[in-house]
Amino acid sequence: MNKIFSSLGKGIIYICTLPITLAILAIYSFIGIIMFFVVGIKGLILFFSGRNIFGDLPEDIEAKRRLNAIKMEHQAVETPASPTVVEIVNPEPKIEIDHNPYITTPVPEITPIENHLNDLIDYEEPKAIESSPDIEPPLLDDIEGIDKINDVSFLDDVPAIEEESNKDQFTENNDVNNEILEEPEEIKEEIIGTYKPLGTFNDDEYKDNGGTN
Amino acid sequence: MNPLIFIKLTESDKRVIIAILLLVILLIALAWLIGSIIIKVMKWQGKRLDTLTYDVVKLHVITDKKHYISYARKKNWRLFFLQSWKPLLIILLAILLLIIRNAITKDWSYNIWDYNVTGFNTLFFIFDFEHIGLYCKTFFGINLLAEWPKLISSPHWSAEAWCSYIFVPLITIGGIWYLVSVQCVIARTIRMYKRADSIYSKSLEGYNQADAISNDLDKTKYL
Repeated sequence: MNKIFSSLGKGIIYICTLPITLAILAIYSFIGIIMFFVVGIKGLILFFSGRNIFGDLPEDIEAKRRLNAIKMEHQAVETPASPTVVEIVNPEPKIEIDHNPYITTPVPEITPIENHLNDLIDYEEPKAIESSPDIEPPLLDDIEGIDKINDVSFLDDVPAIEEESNKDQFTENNDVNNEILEEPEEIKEEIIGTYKPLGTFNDDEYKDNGGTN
Repeated sequence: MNPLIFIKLTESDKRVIIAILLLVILLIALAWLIGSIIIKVMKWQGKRLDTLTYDVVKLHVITDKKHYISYARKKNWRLFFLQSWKPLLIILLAILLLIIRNAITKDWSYNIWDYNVTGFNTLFFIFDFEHIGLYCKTFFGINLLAEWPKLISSPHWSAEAWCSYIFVPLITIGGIWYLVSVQCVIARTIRMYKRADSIYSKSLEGYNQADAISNDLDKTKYL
């Protein structure tokens, strides 16, 4: 019931405000027609100048740019790194030519406290300074006095040392070696005479022993 | 006024009172219905402006009230153009049709509301409201309609009224459509100013500087 009365009350308010509403509507209808022609003519001019009145305003373009940037950031965060086959190509070593003839090492910026701690804890032997590839070592022939080093005439005064034979005695004196290795005939006979090969069976001997062995 | 006057009312008077009351209630209900529809349309169109300006506000492209109003106004009238060109085209076509018809027949006195031969009213019941005094009755000093006026025209098809049969529906549809578009532009304009106030307002209501400073100091404790 309250709802019905509320609706009827609203209806009465609407009827009361109807003249004002109609007046506003009439004013805006008139303004609307003017604006329709203004926008239409402006659009027509822009159309013939190669632009579109219903295109994006500068604010829209800026908003789209920002939105795309945000989307790209989200995609970068959410998308896991997919396993991809990467062709590893060894690039040619990049040689940077240092025109400075002096070999310099960069001096790290270290605060006094860090320097002290490094001395106490992380002390390391100083590494050898690598030579830069552009500085080539001098050839031996170019060194002054190298010919004096090659002069070995003073060695003629030293008595010659006989070279020791590297021949193997076993390979050179075969006869002697054979003699040493071969056993005497007497010992041979003793060994053979007592030899009984496994698995041989002598019937006579078996009978002599009374059939037991 | 003596309340006993109602006791003296005749049966006919009571019927008239009830009929008038019902008519008033019906009118109010109709006004409420139309008003509700208009308010719903206005809310819907207001939300449309929010949609149009959402990105630039959320992404901080527009950071002040004046810029927002300027931008929203441009968007609003562009949308109005897109919404209203169709109804205006319909109205224009209807007017052109009437002008062409009049130019061809050379009849510039053509009455589109005639109920006898040439007008659109040939399709409706027409009562003799011109002589309404004949059908009224005085009720508490007020002239009220006591019976329906005489019927002077019943619906009939007239070939000569073909132009009005096209013109009147077209102009009615176009007109209502255009008025709805205008109503939409009003709704968006109202929403535009409301949003400009709410988005870029710097209200100090409920703000206490001393409390704010102490809160800031409390926060710095934990840093």
